[in-house]
Amino acid sequence: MRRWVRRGIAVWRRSLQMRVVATTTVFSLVAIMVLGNILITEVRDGLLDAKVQASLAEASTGVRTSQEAFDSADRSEPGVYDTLVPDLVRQLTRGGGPEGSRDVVLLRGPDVDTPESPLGRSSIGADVSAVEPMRPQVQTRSELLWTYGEVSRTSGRQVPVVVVGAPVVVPENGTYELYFLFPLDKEQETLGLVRRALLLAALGMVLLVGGIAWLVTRQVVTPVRMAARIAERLSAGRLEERMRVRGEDDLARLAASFNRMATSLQRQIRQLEDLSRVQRRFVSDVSHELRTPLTTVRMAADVLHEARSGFDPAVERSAEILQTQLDRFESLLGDLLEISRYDAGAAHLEAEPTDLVVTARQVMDSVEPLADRRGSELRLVVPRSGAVAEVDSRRIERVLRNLVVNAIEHGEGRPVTVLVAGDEDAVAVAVRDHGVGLEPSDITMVFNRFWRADPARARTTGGTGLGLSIAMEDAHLHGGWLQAWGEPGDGCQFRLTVPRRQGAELEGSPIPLEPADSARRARPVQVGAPYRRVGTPDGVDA
Amino acid sequence: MRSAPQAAERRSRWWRPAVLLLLAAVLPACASIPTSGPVRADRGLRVDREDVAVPFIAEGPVRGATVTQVVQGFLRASADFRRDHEVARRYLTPRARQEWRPAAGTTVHDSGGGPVTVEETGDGVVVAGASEIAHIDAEGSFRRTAGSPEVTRTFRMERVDGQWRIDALEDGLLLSMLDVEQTFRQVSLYFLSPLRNSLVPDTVLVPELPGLSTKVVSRLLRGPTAGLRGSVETAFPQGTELEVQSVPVDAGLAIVALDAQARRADQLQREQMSAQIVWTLKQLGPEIDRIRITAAGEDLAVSGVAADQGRDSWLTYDPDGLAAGPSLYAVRDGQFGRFIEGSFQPVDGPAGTGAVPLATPAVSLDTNRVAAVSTDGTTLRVGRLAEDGSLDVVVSGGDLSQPSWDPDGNLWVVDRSTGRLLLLPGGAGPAQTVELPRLPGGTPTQVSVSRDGARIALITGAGRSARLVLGAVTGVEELDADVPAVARIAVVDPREVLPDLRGVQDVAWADATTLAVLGSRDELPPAPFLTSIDGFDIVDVVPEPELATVAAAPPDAQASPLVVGTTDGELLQYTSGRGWVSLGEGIDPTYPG
Repeated sequence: MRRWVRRGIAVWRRSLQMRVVATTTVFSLVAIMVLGNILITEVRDGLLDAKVQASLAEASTGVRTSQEAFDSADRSEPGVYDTLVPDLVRQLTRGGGPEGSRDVVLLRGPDVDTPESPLGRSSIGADVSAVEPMRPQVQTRSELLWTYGEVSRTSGRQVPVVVVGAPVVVPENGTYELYFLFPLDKEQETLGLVRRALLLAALGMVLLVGGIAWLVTRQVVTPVRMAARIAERLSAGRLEERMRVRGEDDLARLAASFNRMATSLQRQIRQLEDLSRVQRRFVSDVSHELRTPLTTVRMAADVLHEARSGFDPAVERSAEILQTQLDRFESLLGDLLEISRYDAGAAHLEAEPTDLVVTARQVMDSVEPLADRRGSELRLVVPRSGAVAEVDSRRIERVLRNLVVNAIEHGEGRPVTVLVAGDEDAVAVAVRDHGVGLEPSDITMVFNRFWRADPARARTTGGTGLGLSIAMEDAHLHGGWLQAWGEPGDGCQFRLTVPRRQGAELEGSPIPLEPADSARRARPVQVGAPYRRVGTPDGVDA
Repeated sequence: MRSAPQAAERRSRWWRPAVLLLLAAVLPACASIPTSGPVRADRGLRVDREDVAVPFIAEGPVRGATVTQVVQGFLRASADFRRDHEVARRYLTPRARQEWRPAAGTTVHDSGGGPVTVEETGDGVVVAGASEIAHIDAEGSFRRTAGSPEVTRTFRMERVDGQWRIDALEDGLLLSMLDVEQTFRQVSLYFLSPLRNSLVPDTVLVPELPGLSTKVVSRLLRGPTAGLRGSVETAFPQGTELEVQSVPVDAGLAIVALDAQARRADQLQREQMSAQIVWTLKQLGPEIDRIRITAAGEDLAVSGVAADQGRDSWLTYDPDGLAAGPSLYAVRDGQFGRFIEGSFQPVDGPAGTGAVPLATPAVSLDTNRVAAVSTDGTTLRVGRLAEDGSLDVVVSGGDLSQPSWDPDGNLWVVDRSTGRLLLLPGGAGPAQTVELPRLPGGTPTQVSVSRDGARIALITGAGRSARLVLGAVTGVEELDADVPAVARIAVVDPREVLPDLRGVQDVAWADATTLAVLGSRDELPPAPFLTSIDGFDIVDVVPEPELATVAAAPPDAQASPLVVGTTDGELLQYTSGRGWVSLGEGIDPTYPG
């Protein structure tokens, strides 16, 4: 029951058509009921008025007839009233009409006290209770009085009646009260008939109005629903979907405008896509085109570098600089090519079960010399059970190296900690440094291409500005997250989370984003998964 | 998340149409038939009425009255018929009150309103004595009593609460003639002649009280009195009664509400019923102008007649069966003729020529035929009153009286030589003898059949002892000249209308309830007078010496048709203003019938 109510309410809130139909039906029902009520009241008043007038006329005749009958009774006859009264009541009851059309009650008035008076019985005729309220007035006023009442038939049915009463004088006996009870069952029946007919008509009317409202709103709602459906498809990327345009009415105009908007949107999206493709192609082409001359330049530079010892110191210095910058140029070009591979969608994941602890160790071993140069102590925290996941070890190694090198470069000689952890679904690696840290506003920017924390700062170290972007692309390729946390003066932590099995959805990370040793809790920032619908569960990071 | 106020708002919006709906559903329930309300007055009718005068209102017993005073008071109060002698019953003990039946009959005495002899014979017994001159039976039939016998009523007295009351008495009333004349009214109940083509009045006395219309109609429905039973018919189906024991008269309209039995009547019966009711009611006075007859609440449909039947409906059923202003017929110089505007004109045909000497003629009711006896009384001739008519001898021999026609065209005559009453069906021979019971005063010498054919007036004996006997005719059904069904015809219930009447010379029917008689009452010289057929109502006419015959017809506005013939052969007509007026010479006057 409750379910049905709830479902009904839901449908009510969701469906404009149903709301319109229901409202129209309810209001037309109310209007019809009020009108019907007025009509029935009018009919009833008319029926009653006619009946009362007829009853009064009949009763008036009846009273006169009875009075004359009493006056004309053969007074010398013994016990004349004994037979006259019941006969008269019977005659009046019949009243020239069909049997049972009225009841007659003859009551002895209060001034008749002779016990042997011919009308010894206190009442003759039908149910006396209906006349009781009238008796005091009939006894004191010599005119025709009437009221409404109710009598119970022998069948036990209560029948409404018009009661008409008047006094009659029985010669040499006294004043008696004569009452006529005219049943209103015919009127009641007629009224019931009218009411039933009205009810049926009202029901039909309401159904009709509801149906009409349904049809009319359908004409409006159907195109609106179609527009909603088309809009949903458009948003899902099916840009070629269009609404059907029929006729020239407002809805047709709406559909046409909608279609124009969709066309315009589609064109702009295509343009943007084309533009983006052209740009990426250009970068890729430039990278490739640069590679051949660079190789030549490299070979020449290598010759110069080999022979530098024979040069004078200034030239020797130049050769060394040339060699260093060429190294940078080469790695930049490599990174650009890597990025353009991602942009072209040409990156392939060659996943196999790999223990990230081992990968982390290899990375730390390879960057040891750099760390020594910077004076940064490298710490590795690993779980005892290891952290095996299906990953492309080459890419993960690249990501970790990037992160660790970044940490050493920005670590200002302070220790860098690599934390590896895993749970049932995911494995994470967090790299923590204690350098200058990051402004919260910068946290979203660190993964942008060629972004620098301090633009004024000379690019002294070997970073190309594309490392974190590539790392981010690698993380995405694994279906994982790469997230950053930073606080000015408190260092940074970068966290890579990948699912244990390829294709699995990440629910959370085994390592909190904000490190346990952070100076104060900062608002965690989600940057790792911009295209994911499912947000990072609050419970993991909090 | 929805906020609480929003939710509340939504809920209230939700309920609004629901409340409206509920209201609309409840409202029609108000528009139903009411079963109570204030008492309202309809000014259209005010119940006003005037009470009707009652002829005699008696007084109840006074405290400390003696036994004779109580009996005298009771006898006086007996004339108060209201509420079944309610006042008179106050003189009785409770037991006697229950047992006394005043309607058993009324003994009429001649004390003329003066005191009846009331004597206490000791031991709580009072005897009232008077000489009875008439008796009214339970049906209201009045009969004169012969010889004025002494009657006594014995009352046994008892004390009730220290007051003397009558504890035992005979049923019936003891009233003086004066009381009877004051408190009774003679009315005719109209029944049908055996052939159902005319009405026959049945005279009864009823107490004159309000509700006379009810009384006569209920008496009519009860049927004829004993004297006419078997001689008349009634059209009302067996068991027909008044639906309500009241025949109200309002603004000239009397409503006779019969019960469902009346519906069984066929068209002819309905016509005859209507005639009986109309004739019976219209005698009560001009205040009854129209009569409506209903059966079980519906108008009794009589074809060709409006629902409200006027006084002058059904004149064809007139018991007198005569056209208005009938001519007087007589014999002058042997010629039979009639008086037209006071002058004698011989009739057409042989009777008017005087070729055959005629005496004591009789003209049939349709005035087409004449029957007459030869002057020597030996032959009876019948002939049509037309140029080519002939006078045929139908009876010869014997000593024949004046013949008499009945409404069916039969001729009645008495053969004085044999004392037999003869009937000639259809006015032609052969004569058949009608069976007669033993008549007071011997064999008949004269006959006169009433114009309704139901009654027969006979003179028995002759000379100073001649008496007037009235009887009813029975057995007159499809009487046909060819079929000798006369065996069924008889005269029943013979009685002397006036037991003290002697020396009756002639009798004639004035109308259906009145006889014109020439005779001597109370030892006085013979004189003409009119008497009702029950002898209740006697109208004396100024006597004239030496009268021989009498003829009469129903009185109307122009003439009073009472004509006598003197022994000198002169005709005298009685007019109320001037007494007897001579019509000239002539003998044996007669009116048709």
